[in-house]
Amino acid sequence: MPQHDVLVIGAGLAGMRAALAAADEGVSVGVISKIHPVRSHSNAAQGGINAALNPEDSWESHAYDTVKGSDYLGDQDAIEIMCREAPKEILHLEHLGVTFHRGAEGKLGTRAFGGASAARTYYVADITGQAILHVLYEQLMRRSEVFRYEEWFTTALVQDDDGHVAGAVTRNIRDGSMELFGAKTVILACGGNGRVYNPTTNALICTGDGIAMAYRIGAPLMDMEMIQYHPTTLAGNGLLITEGARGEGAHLYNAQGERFMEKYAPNKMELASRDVVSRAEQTEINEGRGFPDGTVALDITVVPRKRIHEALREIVNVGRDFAGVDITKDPVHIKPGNHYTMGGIKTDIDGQTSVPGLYAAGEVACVSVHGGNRLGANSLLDTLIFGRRSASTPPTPPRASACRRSPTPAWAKRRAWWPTSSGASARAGACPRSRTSSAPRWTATQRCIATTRACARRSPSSSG
Amino acid sequence: MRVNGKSALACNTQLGDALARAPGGEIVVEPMGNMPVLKDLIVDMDAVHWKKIQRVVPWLLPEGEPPEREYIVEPEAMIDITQSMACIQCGVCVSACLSMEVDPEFIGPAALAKAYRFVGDPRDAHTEDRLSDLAEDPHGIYDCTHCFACIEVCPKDVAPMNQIMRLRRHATGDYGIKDRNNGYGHEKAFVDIIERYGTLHESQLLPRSYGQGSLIRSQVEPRALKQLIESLPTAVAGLRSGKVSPKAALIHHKLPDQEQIRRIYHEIETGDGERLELNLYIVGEEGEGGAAEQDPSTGDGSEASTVPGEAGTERGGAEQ
Ligand SMILES: Cc1cc2nc3c(=O)[nH]c(=O)nc-3n(C[C@H](O)[C@H](O)[C@H](O)COP(=O)(O)OP(=O)(O)OC[C@H]3O[C@@H](n4cnc5c(N)ncnc54)[C@H](O)[C@@H]3O)c2cc1C
Ligand code: SF4
Ligand code: SF4
Repeated sequence: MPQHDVLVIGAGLAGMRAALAAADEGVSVGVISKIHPVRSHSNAAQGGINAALNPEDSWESHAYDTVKGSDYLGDQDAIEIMCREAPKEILHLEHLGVTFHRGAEGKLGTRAFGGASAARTYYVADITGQAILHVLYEQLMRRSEVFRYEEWFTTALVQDDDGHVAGAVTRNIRDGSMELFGAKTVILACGGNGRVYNPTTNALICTGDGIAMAYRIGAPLMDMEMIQYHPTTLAGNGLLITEGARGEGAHLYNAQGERFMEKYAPNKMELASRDVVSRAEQTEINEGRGFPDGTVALDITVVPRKRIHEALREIVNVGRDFAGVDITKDPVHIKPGNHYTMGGIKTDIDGQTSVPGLYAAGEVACVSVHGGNRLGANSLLDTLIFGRRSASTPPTPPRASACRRSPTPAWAKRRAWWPTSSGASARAGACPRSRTSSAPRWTATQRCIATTRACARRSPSSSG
Repeated sequence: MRVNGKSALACNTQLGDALARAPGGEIVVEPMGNMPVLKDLIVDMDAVHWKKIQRVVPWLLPEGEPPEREYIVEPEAMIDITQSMACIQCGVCVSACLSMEVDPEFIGPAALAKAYRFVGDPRDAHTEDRLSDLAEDPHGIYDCTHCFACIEVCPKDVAPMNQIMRLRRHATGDYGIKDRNNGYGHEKAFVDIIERYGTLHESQLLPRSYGQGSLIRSQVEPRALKQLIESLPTAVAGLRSGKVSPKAALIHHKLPDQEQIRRIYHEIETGDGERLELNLYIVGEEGEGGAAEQDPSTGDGSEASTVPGEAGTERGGAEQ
């Protein structure tokens, strides 16, 4: 039975941040993810992450915007913590290696986001979530204290006789075997439950596993009715078409060719707020003015072609790959779709739920910093701040982790920074080869045999 | 996986397109190449792809304590490495790589693109260590054969081969790393031969790669002798089949207007020292060519453009 002090279930931003924070405390950490960590849904976040880091900006202003954005339903103490700690977290990410894009003088650059009174969104092109996710994964690869169970699917939480959470039942997807994990603390970071809805912008993996597991052992859920809808998701599969498309001037039409937003928001038209546009679209569809596939049309062709390629590059790809439409030439069918779950497992500001030993962070949890409506680029921040906080109170004194050393290249040994060993490579039987290595030159067949053996060796007991 | 023999992501392959390209009207799907098959279409990515990623020391190694605030770096540098940051670690390029098929130990396109993410990152303090490590490895940057397969199949326009070429240019041009694989010498031989003859003089390539001049004039290095002897059968076969005549092999004809070539060389060498990075293979219109080309000053990635008038009070302020 694999045994860890801290068991993190989920390896999106919240889970990986929690695992790294727990590792900093010197305890033994296991991270379980039903998919490879870099495929976690945090990948989807394109826009960026908020922090009042500029000297002219203030955390109070960020907090004010967040409270207001939440329809005054957010927990103001939690919002204060999140906004106060945001600048430090961004700098921490930058020091770890996130390739945030720069502004003048090579300092961190920002972009403006909806609902914010200052430009305080830090970004990496249109791949912010992906960039942070990959950099956190780089750090996980570096840390020996962290054991990764990639492609392991947790199905239930386990409690001891006192009701204290003591571990989790998990299936090794690779061979189908079930395994019981022991832990002193379990941190749930399983992401949202968008897949309950159709359509949704969420990936197939966002099935609310964490919320369900916690609920089944009696952890209270909170704000579950608070669901954010996005007005423009692709017909058929719900892929997100960024708000930027309408920001650039795209129009919405019903099947009769009417620009229906004239009726609902004559001034702001397509640029009215998300809930207004979503409701307008759904009304058109419900009242029979939509297309037969239950959609309305988003016409991006009114935006100059060059501008589309500059500012809406990803949408061009999405249209081409997933709808077979060249959005620079033809309108694309869209409808409102589920986007984000504001609610979740009720936690305090340290991620603690009301079940002893059970913590939660990220979209699976509800602290609540988003209240009735999540502000753009606040959710990545939420995952990181509360991911870290949920792991910062170690359950027990440090325990030496039993991890095999992997060979270290000679040039790296000279430096103090080389990790003493790597959980992953120890498990996979892999070793970073040194340039002076005398490792045999394998033929393809020999290598296959060796790697298959290595993978057979990777039983839970050898990694625990 | 492989669709009709070509490595691709299944999730963004349109069935209709696949059918149109399917020989005999039957779409053939197979597991990814270059990785051990566990079962059906499932391959062991850990055993190959992730192992190779781990090989390139995939984390940032800055020197000393971090600054109080952010590291100050050139805005262009961050945009430059965004192209390799855009990699989703899908392994499609690994599946397609021809060199890896021949040499399974080749570090490979995805891992080397990852390596460039650190080599090109000004915050990393071990650029030279990294470069010489990758140059000296017999399965490192000089193991790529320029086949373009990875560029063709990559769904994210990472253009791994281009990242490998950049690693090489940094290794040779910036750090002058004379590796034991002789990648440095080999590249230089190409450049010198073209400068002299205008086209490639194949029989001179090997000797020049290892020695300083042509076979006859140079002092061939002992290492090269072995290689030369090993390549004799190939040469003999070429002569036998009539592919090469002894005359053509030894007396290479020069391009008629060799002056033009010289001029190009002169231009490059005496230019303003700026190295042109030609991302020729990222297709598309101006401004379309990948995240790497986004303008930092405007900061408007596709998600940036907020909806004007929306900022402020309403709930709709939530972009993403
Ligand atoms: C299209 C889109 C765009 C977005 N853009 C932005 C943006 O620009 N800015 C912003 O701040 N936010 C954005 N968001 C929201 C944000 O991406 C998510 O809220 C956030 O990434 C959630 O992170 P997480 O770590 O909680 O969960 P996830 O990243 O979803 O990770 C969940 C993890 O849990 C694991 N897991 C789940 N169930 C199990 C199980 N049963 N057993 C084992 N492991 C399990 C998964 O494998 C995964 O590793 C966007 C969301 C979407 C859908
Ligand atoms: S160009 Fe090089 S790295 Fe890319 S597939 Fe070909 S041999 Fe492999
Ligand atoms: S370089 Fe491209 S093909 Fe290769 S792993 Fe990355 S995204 Fe996939």
